Amino acid sequence: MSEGIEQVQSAPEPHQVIQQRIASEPGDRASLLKILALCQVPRPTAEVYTTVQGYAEMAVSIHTPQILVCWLLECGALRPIGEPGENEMLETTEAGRCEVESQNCGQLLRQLLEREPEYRREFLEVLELCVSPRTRSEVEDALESHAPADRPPVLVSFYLDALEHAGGIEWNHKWQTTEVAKHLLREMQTDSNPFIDGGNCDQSTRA
Amino acid sequence: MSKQNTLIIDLDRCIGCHGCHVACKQENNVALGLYWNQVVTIGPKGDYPNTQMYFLPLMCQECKEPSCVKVCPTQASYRAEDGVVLIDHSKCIGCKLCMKACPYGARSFNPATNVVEKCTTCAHLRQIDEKPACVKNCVGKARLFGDINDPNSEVSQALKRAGAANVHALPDKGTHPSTRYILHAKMGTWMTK
Amino acid sequence: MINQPGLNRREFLKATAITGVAAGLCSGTGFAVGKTYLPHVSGGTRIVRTCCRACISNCGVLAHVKNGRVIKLEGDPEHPMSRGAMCAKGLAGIQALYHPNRNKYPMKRVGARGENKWRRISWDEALDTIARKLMETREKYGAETVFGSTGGGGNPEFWSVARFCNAFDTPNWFEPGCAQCYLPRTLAFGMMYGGPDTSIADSNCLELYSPHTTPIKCLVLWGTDPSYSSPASGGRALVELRARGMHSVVVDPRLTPDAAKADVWLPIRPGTDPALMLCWIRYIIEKHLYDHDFVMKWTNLPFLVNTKTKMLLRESELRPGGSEETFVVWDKATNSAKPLPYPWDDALQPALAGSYTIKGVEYKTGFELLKERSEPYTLAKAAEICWLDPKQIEKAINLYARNTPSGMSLGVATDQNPNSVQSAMGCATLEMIMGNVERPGALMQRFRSSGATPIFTYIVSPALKLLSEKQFKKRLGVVEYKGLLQWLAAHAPSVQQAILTGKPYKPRVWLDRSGNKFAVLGNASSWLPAVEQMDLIVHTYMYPTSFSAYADILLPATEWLETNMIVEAINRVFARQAVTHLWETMDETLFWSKLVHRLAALGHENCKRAIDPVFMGNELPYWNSMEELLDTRCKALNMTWAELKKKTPVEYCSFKEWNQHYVYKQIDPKTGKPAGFGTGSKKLEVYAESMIILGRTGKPFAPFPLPPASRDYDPLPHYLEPAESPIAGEVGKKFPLVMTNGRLPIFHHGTLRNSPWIREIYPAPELWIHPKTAAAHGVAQGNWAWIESLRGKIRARVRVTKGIAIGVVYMERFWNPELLNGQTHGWREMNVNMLSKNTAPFNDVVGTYTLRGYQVRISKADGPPQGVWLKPADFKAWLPEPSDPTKLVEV
Repeated sequence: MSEGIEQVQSAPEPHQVIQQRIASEPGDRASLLKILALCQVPRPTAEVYTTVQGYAEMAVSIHTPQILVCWLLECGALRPIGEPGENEMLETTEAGRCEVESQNCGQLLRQLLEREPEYRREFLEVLELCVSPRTRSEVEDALESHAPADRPPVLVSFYLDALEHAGGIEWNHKWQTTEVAKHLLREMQTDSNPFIDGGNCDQSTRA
Repeated sequence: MSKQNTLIIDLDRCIGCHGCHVACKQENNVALGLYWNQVVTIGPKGDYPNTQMYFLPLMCQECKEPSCVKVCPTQASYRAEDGVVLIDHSKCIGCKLCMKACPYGARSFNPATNVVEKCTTCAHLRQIDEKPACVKNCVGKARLFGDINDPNSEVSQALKRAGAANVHALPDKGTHPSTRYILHAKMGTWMTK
Repeated sequence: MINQPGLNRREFLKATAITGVAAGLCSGTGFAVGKTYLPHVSGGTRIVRTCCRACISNCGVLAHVKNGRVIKLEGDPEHPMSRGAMCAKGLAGIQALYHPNRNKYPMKRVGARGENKWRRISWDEALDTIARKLMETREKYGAETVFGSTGGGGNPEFWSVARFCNAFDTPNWFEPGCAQCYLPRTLAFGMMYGGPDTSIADSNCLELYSPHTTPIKCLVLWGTDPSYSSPASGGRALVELRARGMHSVVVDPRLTPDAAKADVWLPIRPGTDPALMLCWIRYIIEKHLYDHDFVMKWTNLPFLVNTKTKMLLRESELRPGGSEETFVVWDKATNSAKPLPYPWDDALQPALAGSYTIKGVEYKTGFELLKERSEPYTLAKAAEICWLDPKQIEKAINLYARNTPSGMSLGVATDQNPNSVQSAMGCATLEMIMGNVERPGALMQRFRSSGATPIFTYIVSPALKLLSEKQFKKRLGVVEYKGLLQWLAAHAPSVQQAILTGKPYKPRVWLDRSGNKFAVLGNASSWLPAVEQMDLIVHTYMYPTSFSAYADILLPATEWLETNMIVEAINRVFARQAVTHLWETMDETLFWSKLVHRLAALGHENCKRAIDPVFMGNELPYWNSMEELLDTRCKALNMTWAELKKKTPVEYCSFKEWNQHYVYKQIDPKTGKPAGFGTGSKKLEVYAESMIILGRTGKPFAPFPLPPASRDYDPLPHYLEPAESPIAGEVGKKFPLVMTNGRLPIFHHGTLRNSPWIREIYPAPELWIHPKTAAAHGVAQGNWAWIESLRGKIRARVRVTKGIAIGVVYMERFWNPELLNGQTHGWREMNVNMLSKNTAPFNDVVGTYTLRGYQVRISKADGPPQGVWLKPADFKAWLPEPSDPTKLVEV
């Protein structure tokens, strides 16, 4: 009976292994998911490195594309095709695909909105705002006018962090709403959500 | 009268910090697991919370009739002119008879060199007019070294000041240890292991 | 740029500066003390006169160096506090310096966190990587999401982290100590006295180092054990004083060496100290043992307090045109309220006690309120709460109160549970009503200082002016725990909660400079999920620790034998000068500077200000070398750092000039009146109204106004039963034993667990337990035992001893460097902080959590945890190995 050490559970599913591995790299999560998205179509390894190097996130990653790819190979999210060398290619595995899809299907965003109903209005406002790229300060200024006294105050990075993690916004020198989030916004608009610009301001449907 | 260099330790002052233990290790490069100078804790004993506790540094007691010298088959262990007991490592064959004979556990066997080791009273430092490392370093200034047969020596003066009732020695097993410990009753009742 | 409402922090600190009224140097321009001792050495060996930093005592050291290698250490007889002694910690310095596992170069993680796969990088790359990540983080999320941390072990230049955070414009840094170590005392004494606290381990109580002349008759060691925490300085001084007949009393659950040699040992139940202190106060008041004249004339206890508002009555409230700075007493001669002009009015006969009505409003004197507060704590009551014998308590009080001048040193023990600030206030109160202030023999003194080490004995100024108002207000926990403002720190549990919940924002980049956070933070395992969320962790230390396993970048810090610092000791200043330099280690004082320069180059506006001499002024722009920084501080001695190294030690003052008593009586030339104490009223503020103001506004520390804490802080000490209690509540039923911690003479905080000579003395942590308690819980001497709390489960080796209170168990912090590369990373097996508590309730003023005084249960274990090293031969792997000299590299 070991103390202070978490009990080892039964062996995790391949998809969970990948999820845990990516989750344990908060600083590079976005890049790792992008690599998996990229390699859904098999690509030459060298091309992958070059493409990844160009990602905005990589400008300040403390790791190289080679290291990130290595991690993804180790956890079974990527698979090499062909012999090591010039002709080697990389492909996202089935489990890797699962992970990409689960991150990009908008489910995380929906879950975020359900989990934090007190802040729902601001989350949607930020998503709307960042359809045009915005700096943090710009988002902060836009939200400044809202500060209801009846809930714990939060700073702008609470929204930015949560939305980024849920795949709603991404950073490319400015905050930008993702395609997935835009899709969700459009869906919600057709549901006549009163918090979206142009929606019916029917007070009785407020959550 | 012949000389008897020895250590005097004032246990009223000793706070058990183990500084002497490490100073000795450093000065003499004593190997891990070997101890030329140890510090043990006596107590706490008595009716809680009126408990008593003191610290007892243990090392060679510089006996006047050392049993280690008696049993040594090669005369590696010998008593020097100034009364200090030393080991000539070149003669030691590592039979460890001396360790069995010593009633005070003052000797250690070094498996790397196959010889028995113990406190040398930092003879190499005394040669250049410096005090043994443990004495120099003691945070409580509890350790003194000198000729206990010379009434004017620092150690003799310290024992005189303490008074006979407060001066103690480890049990004499015919060995006549020369090392003395000062301990006043209010700081602890003298008792050995 | 800084609004300065009322007294700002710098003014306050200046007012409380140790130099007193006649500031600056006395006569003497810093001539070298005649060197009465230098050891004989053989040819080729040189002696370097330096100072230790194996702990914070800074004892004098003579280092023997041969062929560039440090071969021997011994004490420096010229050091007035250690006088040639060195303890086991310092003597292990060579093993620390040459430890085979030293961090040698900057390294970057290439595997997963915890996999322990690293790649060596250059300092340039390290600084560049970190700087760019910081800039991005600031842009994306805000500077406040970057935080720093430091600690007490491993020779930190303490304010480096605070200063860096100010330059970066983040309000957040913490250390595992702070609210749990020393801040409660610096705060209480700072606010009530305006001078230093009575910590021996932090090199106060300097009166104790003159055993030949000091008249102190009785010393109370309350929750402090100098024989354990500072054997060569404080411990040594107590040996001399006891030898000269000084009485002593020890309040400590453990029978420490100092307790064994004391007249009375009070084995107090951990966490109950304010109850015992209030008992002492009650007894001293009842028996009239306090110094009546001193209390009347030099404390604020005769002043009238509005019992409804809890505020002191001012003359301005009594009559129009009256002064706001003059307080009011009840004059017995005229039976009316009268303003008492500073410092005294012989025409008045102020009542010390009593309740009075003025215009229908009730007022009581501060003394009356103190009396009322202490009323319930009779000897019997205190004995019941604290698990003591009332007769022994009474004996102890009488020793303290009837053998004056006396002194009460308060240690870290009481800082480590939520009654922290109240205990510190209790100690200050006792010393003040006894008149043990600034007279010969008293511990509370404002002796002179050289001016070379002005900031709590460190030399880096925090440069508070760099932190913007907007950012300052984001400091986590600062509104509720305003006492943290004295140290400019954030509330560690609040930082953790912010990481875990994302609210009010998520801190995400962690720059740590210190040891093993997992060994010393309360409820260590609660930090694991927080660590896993970090975008970047940088860990700067001399060798890898458990925390390193989770870091992204490791930076090699210097061991104390490689560092340079100015050390003040009594009336002398020493140079701690680097004896050698290994590999690419860097003094972290310099690392922060290089990082700020890098950030400035990347365009960080605030960092640009931090390196601008015009903007920084006498707060110093960031330095390009340690020498530059040290030169600036050495100006106070009228010399350069190079000169100090040659001349060390120098006397900046004669001993007589240094040893100034009665500073409060010195006449202030500006007013023609006595200078008084470093408080608003210039009296000792036993009734600490300033605590109420602190809680409501943040004054005198906050540079900008803050909203009030959720409830008022208490101007008098109070006692709260520990939240996890052996006598009340549910937890105590399942976990019946009280856990406490405490120092050992061979360790300093989390350090030295990897030192061969030290580990062979103490290879595994001991669980101290009284024979009665052991019998009741089925463990015996030498057994291995499980110890469990609501937070975790660990093992230790049982030591059955009468030297611990019944119903209490003791363990010192421990981690296992030999298990660093394993799955557990060596912090979960025998680490008492797996058990400690970091949840509310916290101390109301500074947010202290619970490192001592929580509940555990024990049971017999089969044996030690797997893989731990216990035999001396095990530690061979950590012995230094001689090698060819390494290249000397300038970093």
